[in-house]
Amino acid sequence: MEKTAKGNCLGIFGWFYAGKYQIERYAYIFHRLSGLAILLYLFMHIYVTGFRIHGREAWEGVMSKVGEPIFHLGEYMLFIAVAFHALNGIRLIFQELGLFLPKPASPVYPYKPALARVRIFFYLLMFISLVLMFIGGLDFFIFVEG
Amino acid sequence: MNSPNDKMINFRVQRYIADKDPDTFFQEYDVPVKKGLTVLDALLWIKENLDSSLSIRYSCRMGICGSCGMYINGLPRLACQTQVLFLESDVVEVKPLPNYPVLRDLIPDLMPMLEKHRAVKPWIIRPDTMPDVEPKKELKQTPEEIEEYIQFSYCIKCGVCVSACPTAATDKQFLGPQALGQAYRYSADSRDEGVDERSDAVDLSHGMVNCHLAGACSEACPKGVDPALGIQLLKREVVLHSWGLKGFKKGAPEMPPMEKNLKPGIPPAPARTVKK
Amino acid sequence: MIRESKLWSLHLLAGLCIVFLIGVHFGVMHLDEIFGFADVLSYQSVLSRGKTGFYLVVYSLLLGSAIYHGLYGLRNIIFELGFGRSLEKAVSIILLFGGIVSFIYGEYAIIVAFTL
Repeated sequence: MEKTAKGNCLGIFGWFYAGKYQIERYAYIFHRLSGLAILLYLFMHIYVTGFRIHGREAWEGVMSKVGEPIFHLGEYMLFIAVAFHALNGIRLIFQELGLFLPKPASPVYPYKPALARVRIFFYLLMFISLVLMFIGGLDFFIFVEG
Repeated sequence: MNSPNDKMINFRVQRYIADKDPDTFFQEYDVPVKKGLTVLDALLWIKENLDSSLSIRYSCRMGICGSCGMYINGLPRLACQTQVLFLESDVVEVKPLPNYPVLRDLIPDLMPMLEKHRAVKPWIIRPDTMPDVEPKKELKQTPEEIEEYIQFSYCIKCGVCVSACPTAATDKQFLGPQALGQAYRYSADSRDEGVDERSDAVDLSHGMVNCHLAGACSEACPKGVDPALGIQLLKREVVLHSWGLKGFKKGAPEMPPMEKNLKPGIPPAPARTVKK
Repeated sequence: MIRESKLWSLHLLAGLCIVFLIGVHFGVMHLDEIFGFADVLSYQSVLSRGKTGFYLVVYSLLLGSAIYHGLYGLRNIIFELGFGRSLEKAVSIILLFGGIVSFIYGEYAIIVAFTL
């Protein structure tokens, strides 16, 4: 009689807890979470921006509702999510098609995995992402209208 | 022999004895540890001195058979390759490999992984020269061609990579890094002509597209097989084939008979002393 | 049934397109103070942008790629949760239907805004 795999599987915990694993696993978690957040926003955004074809009053009505500070903060959170998701996504597009990865070779102990060897690519894209987040932050909160 | 200078380490071992208790429980043992003692040695010491009912699977004790995969202090590893003092902890928690059914105590049922391995056709596919998977003639392969896949051939089927994979944590139908890595090992072999046939096993909704490059499989692999690298290279192969951008790959040619392959100045071999 | 690797490679292609298109969209909407665009959210500004051919193309492509990329990703996440085959087919159909409806709704707004 064996315990089912269901009991011994890590489940959703296995998705979202990266523990002692390397940074690429943390990047996977944030990529997934940011993707879901952006998708949710996308459908709300398509609905809200659709109001522009119903005339000035409809547009200004809906804009006044989403112009409140809490929505402004939410928009900045989305900006951060998009900046991370897009830059990490660029890395994933290249690496998942086998580009910019080292060639297979006989492993010599202690072996450094391919992703660890090209981690500089990840750090470079994350640096660009942080710069974009900072510039976006300036635009959202520091440089106000006028 | 144990000396008074040995450090005492507390082992928290997950037990599961189906006919006694349907739930798992932890049992603690204090083990004297000296430098060089591995987790497997410690578990065998427990079995010999404290609790003979503890069940573990092991064989070679040297990291080549792949039997002793366990979840030790939060990472899946081979117990025979993990030295207790390297864990730098006074408490060592040992659980069976996650993402597999558990048979008893620390013994996982690795059949799910092995069945998925078989599903990707882990053999050279070459209908003309090897119709029965047995080679009839030697096939020509240069050292450079061997370098393209040999890394992935070091897989010992220990199952640690599947335990590390976040997708395998929820998706039981996912082929897993082991099977996908081996699918690449055979597809990249210059003797193989079966990329299209193997694609049918790999190009499915719980196949290679569910690898999201978390890289945990390669981090956990004890033999440096780097399944993550193999899977991304496999994705490129399969995508190029599915869009028709890469044609049928003709396998390595057969070696010509030795008599025709002789370098000049080398005398021919003497006559056979044993009749065929 | 379309091969999974083809659907997945389109997902990557859509992702790449989105990187550029979102760059344009964010540049206009969120870096407006830095680039000096005035009042990007006002009705007049939105109207004038919507009437240009450039934004007709950019918004249409962005809408299509983003919906495809997002819903394919969601489909992968749902499939990884491990449901039965029949439920997976239902999920695929629901997401396809939802995607098409959202695209029609968004594209209708883009085209009407162009002709206003």
